[in-house]
Amino acid sequence: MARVSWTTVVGGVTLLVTAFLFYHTFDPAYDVSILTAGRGPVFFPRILLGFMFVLSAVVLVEGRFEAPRAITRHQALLVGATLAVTGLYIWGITAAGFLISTVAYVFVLPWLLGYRNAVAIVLVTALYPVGVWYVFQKVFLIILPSSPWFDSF
Amino acid sequence: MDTLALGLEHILTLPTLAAIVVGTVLGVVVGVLPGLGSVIGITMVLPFTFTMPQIPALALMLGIYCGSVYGGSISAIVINTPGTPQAAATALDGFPMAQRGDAGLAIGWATTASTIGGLFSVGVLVLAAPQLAAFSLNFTVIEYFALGVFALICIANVSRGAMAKGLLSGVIGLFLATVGVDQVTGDMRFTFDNFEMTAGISLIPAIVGLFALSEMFVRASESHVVKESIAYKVGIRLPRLTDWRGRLGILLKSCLIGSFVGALPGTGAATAAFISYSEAKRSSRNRDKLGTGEPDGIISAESANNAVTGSAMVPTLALGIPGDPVTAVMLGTFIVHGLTPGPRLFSEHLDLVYAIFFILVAVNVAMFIVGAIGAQAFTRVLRVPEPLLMTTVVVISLIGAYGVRGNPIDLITAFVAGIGGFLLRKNGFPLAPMVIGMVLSQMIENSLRQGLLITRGDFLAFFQRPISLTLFVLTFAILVWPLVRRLLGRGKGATLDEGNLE
Amino acid sequence: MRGSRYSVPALAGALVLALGVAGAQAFPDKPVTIIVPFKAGGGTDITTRTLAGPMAQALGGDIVVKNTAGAGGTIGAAETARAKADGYTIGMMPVGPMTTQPHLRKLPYAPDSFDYICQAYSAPSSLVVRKDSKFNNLADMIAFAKANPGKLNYGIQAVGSIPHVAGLGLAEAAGIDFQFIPFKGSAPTFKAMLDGTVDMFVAHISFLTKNGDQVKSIAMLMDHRVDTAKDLPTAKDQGIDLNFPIWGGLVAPKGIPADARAKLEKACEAGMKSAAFSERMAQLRMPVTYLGGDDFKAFVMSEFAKNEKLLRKAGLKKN
Repeated sequence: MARVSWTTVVGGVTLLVTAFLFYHTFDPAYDVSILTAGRGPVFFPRILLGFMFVLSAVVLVEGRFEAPRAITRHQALLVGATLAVTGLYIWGITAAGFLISTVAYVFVLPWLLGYRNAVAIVLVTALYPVGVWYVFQKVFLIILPSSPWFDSF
Repeated sequence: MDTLALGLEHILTLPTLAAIVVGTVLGVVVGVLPGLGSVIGITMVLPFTFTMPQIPALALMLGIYCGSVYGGSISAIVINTPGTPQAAATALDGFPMAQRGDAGLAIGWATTASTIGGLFSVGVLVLAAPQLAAFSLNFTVIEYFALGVFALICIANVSRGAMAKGLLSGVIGLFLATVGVDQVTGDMRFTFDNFEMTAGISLIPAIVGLFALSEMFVRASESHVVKESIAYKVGIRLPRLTDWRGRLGILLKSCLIGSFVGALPGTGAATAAFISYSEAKRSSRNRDKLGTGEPDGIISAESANNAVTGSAMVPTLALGIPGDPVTAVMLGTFIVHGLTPGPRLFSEHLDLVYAIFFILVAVNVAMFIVGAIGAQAFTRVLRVPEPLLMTTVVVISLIGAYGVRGNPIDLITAFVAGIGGFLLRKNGFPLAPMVIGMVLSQMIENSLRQGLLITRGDFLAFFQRPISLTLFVLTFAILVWPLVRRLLGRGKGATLDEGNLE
Repeated sequence: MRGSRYSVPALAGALVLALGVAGAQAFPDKPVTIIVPFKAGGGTDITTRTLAGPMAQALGGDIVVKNTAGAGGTIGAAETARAKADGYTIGMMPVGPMTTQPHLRKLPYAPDSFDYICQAYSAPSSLVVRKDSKFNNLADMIAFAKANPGKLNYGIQAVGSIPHVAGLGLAEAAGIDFQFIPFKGSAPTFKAMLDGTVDMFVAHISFLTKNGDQVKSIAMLMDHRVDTAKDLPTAKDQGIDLNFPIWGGLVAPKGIPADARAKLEKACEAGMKSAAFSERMAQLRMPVTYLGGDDFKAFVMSEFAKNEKLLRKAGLKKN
C-alpha cells in the first residue's frame, strides 16, 4: 500500500470520531421528554455529525491525491518536545502555580525553539513571569492559580 | 439645539475627558492581549464606576468597549492571534500583510477603518435609534435562525480553494460549541460523565489554542527553514487617500452590515465582521486577492466590528436590552441616576443620548490617536527574536484563556485546540471556518429549537414570516448564483475564472 | 556557649508560640477570595463586588473576587466546595447552584458540602408582562389560560432555574399549562417578551426597577410585601401562595475553623449594614436581608427540599 498523506489521516480520524459520536447520540441518557417539541438534545448535533461524516469522507479521498509529506526525524522530535513541554507547563500551572511553572517554561522554551542567547533568556526568565504575574494578579485582578506551598503565589 | 449643547456640556469636563482617554487606552490594552477583552476591562473598572458620576462612568466604559474591539485587530495583524474573537476575520488579511513587512500599513488600514466604522455607527445611533430599535423587535428567534443560516455562507466564502476542508473545519466548529449544557433541555451533551467537561468548550480558549499555540507548533516544525529576513518597519503607515479609490463601496457596505447586526441584541461584533468579510469576498473588486494581505479584507472586518459598538447602544438605550456584559453594566449606571431605559429615554433625556453620542465620537478619535502612537510599540514587537516572542505570547494567551472564566479546563481546551490547529494548518485546512462555526452554533441551534417550541413543532411556519423568508431566499440565491453564472457562462462559451463556489 | 545552646530552642519555641498565637488571632493574614460562580458584570457579581469593599474593611484584610463561570454556576460551586477549608476561599452561592442544579444532575457537591456564613441578599421575584399587556393581575392571566389552553408562552432564563420552578409552581396551583421557552439569561428572555414571542416571565425586582417603562408586575412571588415594593400586590394577595425569592449568600468549604467562620459572619453583617451597600440595594429596590450562618443554613435546606418536590413533579428530576 502506498504511503498515505496527512490529510487522509486527518480525514480518517474525524471519520472514526464522527462515527463514534453518532453512535453515542443513541445513549439512553439523551432520551428526554420535556421541552423538546419532538427534538431532543441530540437533534442538532446529529445533523452536524451527518455533515461531518460526509465531509470527512470527501477529505479522506482528497488526501489520496496529495503527495505524502516527508517529516524529518529532527522536525518530529522538535515538535514533539514543544508539545510535551507545553503540556507539562499547562499541567504545572494548576499543580505548581502559575508563577513557578511560567519561570520554568520561559527558561526552557526559547532554548528549545533554537534561541541560544543565554543572557537574553536569563533576563527574560527573571523579569517576564514576575512582571506578567504582577500585572494580572494585582492590577487586572485576575486571580491566577497559586502553588500549594506559598501564600500568595 | 439646546439639548445638543447640554450634551456637549456634559462631556466637556475634566473627569469625563480623562475617563475617555483612560478608558480608551485600557480598552486597547485588554483588546491587544489575546484572550482578554471588553469583559475583563469592564470588570477592572467596575468598582470605580459605582462611585463615579454618571457621565464619566459611561465615558470610561464606552472607551473600554470601543478600544477593546479595535485593539484585538492589532494582535491579529502582528502575531496572527486575534486579541478578541471579534478580530478573527482581521487576521485573514492583516497577518499576511504584516508578513510582507507592512505591519504598519496593516495597522493603518485597521485603525482608519475602525475609526470610520465607529463614527458611522454613532451617526446611526443618534439619527435612527428609535426606528432601528423598533425594527429589531421584528427579529424574533425565527429570524435569528434565518440570520444564522445566512451567516453560514461565510464558511463557504472563506473556504474557497479548499472547499471540503473548509466546510469540514466549519462543521467541526459548529459541533464543538454543542458540548456542555443543552440550553433547551438543560441536559449535558458529549461530556461523558466528566464534571469538568460540563462547562463546555468555550470560544476564547479555543481561539487561543487554534491561533497562538498552533502558531508556535507550526514554527517549531519549520525552525530549520531559513526565513528570508524581512525588514520590519516600525510605526504606523496610514493609507493614502488614493488607496481608498475603489474601496469606498466595501467600506460603506461593511459599516451598514456592522450597524445593523449590532442593533440586534445577542449577535455581536464577531458575527458582523465575518458576514462583512464574506460579503467582501463575494463582491469586492479585489476578491481574488482576499486572504493574501488585501486591504479590502481588513477594511471589511474592522469597519464592521467597530460599527457594532455604536449600534449596540441602540437596544441598550431604547429597549433596555443589553447585548453583552459591557452594555449590561452600563445599564446599571443609569439606575444610579433614576433613569429608565426605553423609548421614553429618547424623548425625556435626549441630552444624555447626545452626551453618549459625543463621548463615542471622542472615544473614536482617541482610539485613532492611541492606535497611531501605540503602533510604534506594537510593530517593534516583530523585531523581538521569534523564539522569545512565541514564548511570551503563549504565556499571555494562556492567561487570557484561563482568565475569562477562571476555569482550569479552559487551559486544557486551549492545549487540545493548539494540537488540533497545528494538524489542520499543516494540512491546508483553513481555521477561520471553525471560529465562525463556534460563534454561530448556539445562535443557530437555540433559535431553531426555540422557534420550533413557539410554532409547536411546525418548521414550515419558519417560511411564513417575511423577514425570515427573505433571508432564506437570499441565502439560497447567494449559494446557487455562482453555479448558475457558471452554467450561463459555459452556454456563451465564455471563460469563467472567478466567483464560482469551488 | 552554654547559654546560647539553650537559648536557641527557647527562642524557637517562643517564635513558634508567637506565630501560633498570631496565626490564631490574625485571621485573615492574607487576602480572602470570594468565588462568584458567574461571569463578571452579572447581578451576582455586582452584588458581591459591592459587598466586598465594606466587608473587607470590617474584616481588617483584603478580599478579592474571582469569577469561575460555567454550567449554570455549578463549576464555581464545586470549586468552592473542594477548596482548602481554611476560610481563605469562600463562595457567593446563589439559589440555582445551591438548591435546583443538584436535583437536575449528578454534581460533586451538595448543600451539606458547605459551612454557611451569611445570606447576603434575598430579593423578591416578580411575574412580569409587557406594559401594554391585557393582563393586569393573576386572575386575568389564569382566565385567559383556561379559555385558551396551550396558548401561553412562558419565557425562562434557564432550565431548572428559579423562574422555571416558579412557573411550574404557578401552573400547578392555578391548574393551567404553559409552554416554557428557554433562553440564555434575562436579556434575551426580555427581548423575546418585547417582540411578542413570550407572554410573560419571572424577573428579579431590580429588573422591574430598571425597565418600569416597558413592563409591569402582575404578581410579586413573595409571601409578604417587602418594604421596597409596598405598592405591588403579591401572588398571595391574589390567592395563590407562591414564594420564590432570588437569594444568595456566602458559604465556605465544610470544616473551616470556627473562629474564621465567626469573623467572616461578623464582617458580612457589618458590610451589609454599611452605607455603601445599602445605598446600592436601595437604588435597585432590593431589601437588605441579612441572615446569620445558622439561619441561612436552615433556609437553604428547606428551599432545597421544596425545590426537589417541584422539580420531581415536573419530571425534571430524573432519579
